[in-house]
Amino acid sequence: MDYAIETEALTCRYGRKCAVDQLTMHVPVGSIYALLGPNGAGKTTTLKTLMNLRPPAIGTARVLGVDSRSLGPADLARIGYVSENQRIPSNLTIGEVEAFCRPWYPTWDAALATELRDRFGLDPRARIKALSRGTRLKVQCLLALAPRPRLLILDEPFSGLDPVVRDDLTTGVLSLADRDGWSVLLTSHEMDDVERLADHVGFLNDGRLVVEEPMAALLGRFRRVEVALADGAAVPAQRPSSWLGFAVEGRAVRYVESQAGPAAEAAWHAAFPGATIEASRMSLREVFVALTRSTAPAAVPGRSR
Amino acid sequence: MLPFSIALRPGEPVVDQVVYAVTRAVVSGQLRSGDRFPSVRTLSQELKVNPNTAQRIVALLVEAGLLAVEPGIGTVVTKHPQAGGSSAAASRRADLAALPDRLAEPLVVEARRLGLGLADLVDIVRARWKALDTSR
Amino acid sequence: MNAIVAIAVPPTMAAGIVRLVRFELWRFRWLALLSVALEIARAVFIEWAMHLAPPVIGEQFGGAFGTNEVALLDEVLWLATVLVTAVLVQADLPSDDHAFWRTRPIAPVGLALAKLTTFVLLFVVAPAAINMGRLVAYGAPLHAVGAATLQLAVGAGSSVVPAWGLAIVTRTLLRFAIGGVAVLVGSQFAFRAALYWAEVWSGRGGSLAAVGMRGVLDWQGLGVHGWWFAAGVTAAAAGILTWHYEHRRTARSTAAAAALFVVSWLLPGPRDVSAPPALARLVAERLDVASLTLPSARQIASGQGASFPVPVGIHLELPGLPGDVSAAVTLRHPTLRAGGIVAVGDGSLCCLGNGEAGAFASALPRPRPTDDRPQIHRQGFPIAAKDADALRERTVTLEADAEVALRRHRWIGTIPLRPGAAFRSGSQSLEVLAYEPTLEPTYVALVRYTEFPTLARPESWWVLFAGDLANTPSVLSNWGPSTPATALTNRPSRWASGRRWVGRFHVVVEGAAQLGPKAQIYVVEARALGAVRVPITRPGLRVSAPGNGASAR
Repeated sequence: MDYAIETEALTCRYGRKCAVDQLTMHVPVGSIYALLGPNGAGKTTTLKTLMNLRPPAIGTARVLGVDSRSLGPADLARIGYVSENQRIPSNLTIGEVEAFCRPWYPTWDAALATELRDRFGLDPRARIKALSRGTRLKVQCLLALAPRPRLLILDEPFSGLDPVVRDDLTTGVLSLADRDGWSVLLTSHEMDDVERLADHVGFLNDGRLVVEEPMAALLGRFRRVEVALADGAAVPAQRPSSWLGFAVEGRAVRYVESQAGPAAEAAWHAAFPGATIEASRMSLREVFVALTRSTAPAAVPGRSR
Repeated sequence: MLPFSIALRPGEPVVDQVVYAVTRAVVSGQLRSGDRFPSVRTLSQELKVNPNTAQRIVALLVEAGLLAVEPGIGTVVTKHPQAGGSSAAASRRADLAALPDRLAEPLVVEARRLGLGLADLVDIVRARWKALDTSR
Repeated sequence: MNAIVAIAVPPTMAAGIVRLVRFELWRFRWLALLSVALEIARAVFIEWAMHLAPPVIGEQFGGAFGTNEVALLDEVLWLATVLVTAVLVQADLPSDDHAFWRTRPIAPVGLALAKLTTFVLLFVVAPAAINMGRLVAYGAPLHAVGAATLQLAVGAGSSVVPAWGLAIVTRTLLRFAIGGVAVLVGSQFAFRAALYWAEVWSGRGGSLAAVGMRGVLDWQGLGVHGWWFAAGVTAAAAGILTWHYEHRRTARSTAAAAALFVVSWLLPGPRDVSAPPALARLVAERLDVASLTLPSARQIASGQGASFPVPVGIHLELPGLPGDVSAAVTLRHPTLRAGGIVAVGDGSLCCLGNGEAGAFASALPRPRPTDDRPQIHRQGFPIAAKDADALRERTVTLEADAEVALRRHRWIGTIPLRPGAAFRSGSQSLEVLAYEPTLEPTYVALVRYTEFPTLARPESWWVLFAGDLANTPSVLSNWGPSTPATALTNRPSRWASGRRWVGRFHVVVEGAAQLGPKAQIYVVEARALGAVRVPITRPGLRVSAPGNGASAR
């Protein structure tokens, strides 16, 4: 099995509205895949469909090699799911919920559970309904991680949480890192947390997958280019399609190069002879903003909208 | 808690930053030969980076001869990179050959741009060398 | 219902179900305790009301002490059952994409079976255990305990299963409450509308009214087919709900449920027992119509119009009916012909013969001749007012299908009419607790009556008479004036079932002052003998207005 998750033209609808449109994505085994996108892009719907909480309208999704509509208890025992939408029975204590979940998972690791409980600072006697949002997410993480799942699916695990909790959650997720063959799919719009964590990234916008690429490759090909024009130089009329967000202010020219490399560098120098050109790497958030704002279809290698 | 100092900055690849930080630590004596190096899991948890990234960092450091994997013990800091097999020696020769272009040229160009003289530049370099020595 | 769990479930799922049930009972421990506490409270209250409450005859003696309060407790119990069911079901809905269990390795069928098991534990096993304790203390036989348990299961199922379905559909407790009220009110409204239209279109409103709201809502088929059938239908409905958790398609489940209910409603009931051949022959040969009467023209004129239904009185006679047998006649499709056809609706008439009092005929020291002549029945069947006008003083032919239900009465016991007297026969027993002149000259007795549950169709019931046969043969017929007789029969036909099998009742004894200190209670057992169908064709009947007295003879 090459892919922990793969979808084929997955389409999900809420009534007439199409929340996920012809989504074809692949999450390789052993990767941490970040599915990013603005609010309402369809990320949560995609995850719910993968977990068989909603049926797809058209298309298929395969999770750990099994069609999402046929996920049975044996498959779910190898998948951990964390989402703020999940309701934990609230009049129980943390210890009781843990004791309830444990027997369902043959691979439950009690030592890891204890380590996570300590790391997250969870008191087994605390009642779920008295916990803050962040603590509840920590409980969900504990329940999802302790069975050492082969696949972790995290739906916006960091949204609205303070940095300390985010830190704890990230460390908790990485506590599985001493084993091979586990994969993570997480959605977020907190780019900073995701940038170092994920090695694959997909951008979802309006239900459609705009980009799907390894993180290193994506960040490797985007550069912010700042040009100080030479005296009397003109802005070229014809611009390569890989330049996004082209802006001119006096003698300063700024744009985003989406296919950085020696050929691109040559093109810059050819377009602005004699000018001072500075190219710097962009953070994931900056890449995301540039992609979302751009309308050029060729911002994406080999893919058209 | 990591046995070497590092502060990750946005904008530069993590791998490069960590490899540099470990190299610095070894060179300055913060990490001595024989010291235990953190596992991939600890590295990834402390730095909040992808475990594959942590894996690659360790692999690069092993390839550079700074770390070695000892069976039964784990990853340890090796003796000074000069002691190594033929492939380590070859890569060291390659690194030496590239030094003038990779590091010296930008240094010289920048110094001249700022209007520094050679003596000033040498002073700066000497000061840094001494600083690393004292942090051993 | 537990049998279904044992047959089709692999061992790991069974272990999972046990785990889930324990989790449910712990998660909802307060609700579970409340349910059990209400059951215990009911049992304690009943026993106190039956044995420890003072045998005081209340001023407003319309019902027995404890009956109204118990009825209220039963309503509270029903409400608690329904609400607890809704809470438990809505905690883990099958199609809820926020539900905790959906992303855990819990099989949906396992979850459904766990819910079912929890309901059985709370609403069948707990009440049955308490009930068993009471029955055994009363000396009931083992088969009565078994019958009562099955009846409790069917009773619980009649409210739990629909509540379960409604809870799944409405998803929140508030919407469930609103939906429940809407269903109850709506069904009342729909039933009454159906009655109205049935009456207007076909004049058959009578048969629908006879079935009643209860009959229409009897989705288990209990009234028509009995306890085992009802248990089977309930188990099938629970099975449909369990299956729903697996496929989660509302359309499929609704279709399956609809099919089940249609089958249950349409399946013909068991044939009525036929009467013994000698009696059947007697009825077929000698049932006759004596005369027809109509209200006077003046009475009709005060009606509302040409189609207003007017009752036709009918005299039936059945000479030669043995003294200890009585008959109830239902006329189907009675048709009066006089030139034109006048089709009318069904009518039923009660009782030919001496009724239950006929059981004493042989015991009277100076037997009075029983009255061979039938009684006057003022209400026979309705016809339209304009037809009544057309038929007045004419000679008509009556055609009808008569269905005659026969009953035999047997005098089975006598006890003195004073506190402390007791009588027992089979699974029924009676004790007199008090006897007082509450409203001179009417006396009221307070009795405690016990009837152990059974699964058989109710075939026999008790009728009580008060009198003093030795001195004054005042007991002759149920229908004569000042005949003291009352029945424990004006209770629902399945009074003794499940938890309800002992009660205190007031028995009104009219004319008691004349009875004297040696008054007795006579217990007569009425037993259904079966039914006979007799087609009647009687020409030459003269329709008269009352007071004319003329008849066909």
